[in-house]
Amino acid sequence: MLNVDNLIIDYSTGFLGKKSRVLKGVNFSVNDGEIFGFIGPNGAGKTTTFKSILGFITQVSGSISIFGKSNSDVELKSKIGYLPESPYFYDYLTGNELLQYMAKLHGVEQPILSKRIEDLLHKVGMSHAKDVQLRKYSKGMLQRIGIAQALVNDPDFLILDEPMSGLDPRGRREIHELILEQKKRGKTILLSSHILSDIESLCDRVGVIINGVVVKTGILADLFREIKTDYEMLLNCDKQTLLNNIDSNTVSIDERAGFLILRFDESDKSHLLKLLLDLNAEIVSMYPLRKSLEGLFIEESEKTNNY
Amino acid sequence: MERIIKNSELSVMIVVLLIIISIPIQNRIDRIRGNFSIIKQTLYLTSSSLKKLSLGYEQILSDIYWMRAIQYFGSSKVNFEDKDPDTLYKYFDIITDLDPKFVNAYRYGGTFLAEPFPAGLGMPELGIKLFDKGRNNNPSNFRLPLEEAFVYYLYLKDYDKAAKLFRESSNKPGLSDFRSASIRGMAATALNRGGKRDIAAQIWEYIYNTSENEGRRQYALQNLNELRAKDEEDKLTSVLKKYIKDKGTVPESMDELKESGYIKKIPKDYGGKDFIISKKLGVVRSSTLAKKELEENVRFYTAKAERYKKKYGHYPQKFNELKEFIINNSTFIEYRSNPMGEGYKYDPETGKVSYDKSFLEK
Amino acid sequence: MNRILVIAQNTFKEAVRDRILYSLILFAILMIISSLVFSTISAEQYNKIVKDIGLTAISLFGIMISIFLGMSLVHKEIEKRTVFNIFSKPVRRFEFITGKYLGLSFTLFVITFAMGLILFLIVLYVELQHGRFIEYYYGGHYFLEFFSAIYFEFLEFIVVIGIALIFSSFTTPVLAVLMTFLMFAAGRFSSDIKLLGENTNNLLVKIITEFIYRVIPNLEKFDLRSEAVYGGKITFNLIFYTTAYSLIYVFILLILSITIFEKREFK
Repeated sequence: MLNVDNLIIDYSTGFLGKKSRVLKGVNFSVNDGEIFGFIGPNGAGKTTTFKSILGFITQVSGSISIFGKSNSDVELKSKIGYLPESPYFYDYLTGNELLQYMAKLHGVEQPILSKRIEDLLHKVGMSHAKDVQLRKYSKGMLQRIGIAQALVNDPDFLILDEPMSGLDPRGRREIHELILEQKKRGKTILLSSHILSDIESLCDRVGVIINGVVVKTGILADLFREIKTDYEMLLNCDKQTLLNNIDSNTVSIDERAGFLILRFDESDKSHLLKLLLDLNAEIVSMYPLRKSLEGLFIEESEKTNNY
Repeated sequence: MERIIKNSELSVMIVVLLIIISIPIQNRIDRIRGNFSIIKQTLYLTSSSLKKLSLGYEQILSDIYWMRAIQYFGSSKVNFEDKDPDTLYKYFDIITDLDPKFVNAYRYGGTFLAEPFPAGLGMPELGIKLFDKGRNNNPSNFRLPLEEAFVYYLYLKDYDKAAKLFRESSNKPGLSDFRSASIRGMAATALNRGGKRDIAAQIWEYIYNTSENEGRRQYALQNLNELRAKDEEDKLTSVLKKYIKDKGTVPESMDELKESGYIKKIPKDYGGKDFIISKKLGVVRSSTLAKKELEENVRFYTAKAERYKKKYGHYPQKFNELKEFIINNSTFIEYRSNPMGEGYKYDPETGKVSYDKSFLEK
Repeated sequence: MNRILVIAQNTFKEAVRDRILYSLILFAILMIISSLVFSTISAEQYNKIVKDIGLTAISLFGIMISIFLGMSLVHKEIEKRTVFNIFSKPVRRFEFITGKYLGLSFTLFVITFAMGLILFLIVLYVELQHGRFIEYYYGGHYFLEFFSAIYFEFLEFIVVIGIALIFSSFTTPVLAVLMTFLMFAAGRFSSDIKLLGENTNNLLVKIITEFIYRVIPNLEKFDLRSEAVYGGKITFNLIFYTTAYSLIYVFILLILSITIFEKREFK
């Protein structure tokens, strides 16, 4: 469906046009019928990548192909649906009018047009506000309308930039269902997010972009399996005794409410437990720190920095 | 189409091509609209900065100046002495620079400047300057030369010039044969200088018939009455002269003429007042007309004294100084003597001129 | 083609829902109606005052609307980021520019028509009241010239919109308004520029002034306000050639805008 090959993008900033390289060679592909999650910390280049896929900015070098054709082919857009990062719309139009406008730009004609708009409004839960001007919409409402306008041409390829942002839990669930439904219909979806639970439950594959480079692509579970896990332990023990016996470079020691808090990673776990048993320390509790995207990012950043 | 536009060199070439095509079209339009350079040239040489600032909205700017002029010069609240002819001329000069075809501006301004007090500002030389400009910018208008001819005839008494302008007017388009012929007739008569009052009467009749403004018509009517009064004066004066020749003395009053049988009855003048005899001049005058002339002259002199003061900073010491000032500063105005043959009284402190009213009471 | 019309339709809708537009139109109508008041103190120049004030009002406000709304045509979409919505659909850059231009031009057509109608009713009223006088001193009612004057003012509007569109495609709003206004002023000064060239002996000045006179649209061509009062030679040829002149410049300005806009990136 989509193939991005060594994409390099420069931005010129300031009056003199000083160039900064925002994308330094992005490579990834999205297969037909899958849901691909594009993840990375803020400023990594997610939105920039999407904008160049859609032809809003031109690349220094590299190529992008969609449906096997170059992305500069304007006609391709009739099979694409795009949700931009923050909802940007015409505030003087009503929800209904916006969808009509977008649909007409796609060349969707009556009677399909009215029926489809009605269905979409219902699907995103905006039927009640369809005749209200967009300037009066809340962020969540704008997000929903945004998704609706992305679907107005029944696209084969959906590109969604942070589709869940601004939504309450019920909204997120609805959109979640909607995306899965599109997949069931055979559509391909590329989305970006930095909320782990969304990615975990939706995406078949993910791509991790850090500092303008895609550092890893693959199945999320596989990616997590590679990263080390941290543990945290609550302990009753004499601090000095502990300090004498533990290498504080690998194990961090804190005090809280009379207890000692130890933090350490997988590799230190077994020898530390043995040590504490020998010291007769009282272990109150021990638990692994939750796997997080931040962890993944930090891990990958460190790897990149080490190059 | 898309490919053409994506190639910017090509689109620049197309743009250049289109500009080249626009040139002959622009020329065509210039030819049709015609004389833009002539008119604009007069503008360029005069109040061009105002025209430039108006950015194509000259018409309305000329209207604004027009309304200002009307408000100021037509206002009864402003003292007559404060209505400076130079200011009026300047206003109308600007108005007609901005809108050279504003024929009525030339007519109203020129007439108001030329006519004597109290109807106008008594500066016919400025008036004709405005009319000349109007004729220059509106060469096919018949009213401008016609009304300028009036000024020459009535106030400047330059009959040759008046005749020339009458003839010019009669040749303009838009006149009926009858009207054209009658104007040409005025030209002929002016040249002959005979029957001066006939033409003057014709002129006021014309103004009476063609004015929409009631005030102006009344003014024309008044002038016609005065002309008729002068005719009556002439008739009575010739009778008086006969009496003087026969009897060798000047009669004291009109009653003597009647009693001696020279006239059948004593007429009243157009104002309902008596006719009186001026011993010094040996003529019969209508007292209404004489009084009017005296009033006018007095106002004229007083206004001229004010002009003197504006120029030199003080009123003239003697009446003769005032006379000299008037003669030296206008080529056309004659010194107006007292219609009853008497002199004027002058107060150098206040610059006010007056006359002895007792002469009218006879 | 259809997409162009869809965009034009939306542009029209946007203009019609713009509050600034309504304030300007209101002022224009007030000015037109005030002409009746002024005409009573104008010493019998009734029709001249009414026509002058009315035609100037339409022109003045039309130019203002053309500059301000024309300037925001592209700039607003970029600033409000709605360009992302547009160009994620199969819309070509030239379709966007053309559609926006047509939408605003049509808006101005409607406005000019409405104001022209109101003014015409007032002129008609004045003519009925003082017909004989007007006939006598001005030589006629000149209705053909009057409507031609309004039509020509519209021709000027669509050129000014084009100028504003170009500048809006690549500069900030403040600069765009300034540059558009300067070019508008230069367009109105055209014959003075030409005269400057004719009256000078300096060859360089001659070349420059001739160049400016030929390249910058000569907006004086669209001024028929004097003829609307005093009459003039309004032939079919004049209308045809002036329309052609306006359309040529509309094409020039559109092509330039599109060329500039093709290169534009949306960050």
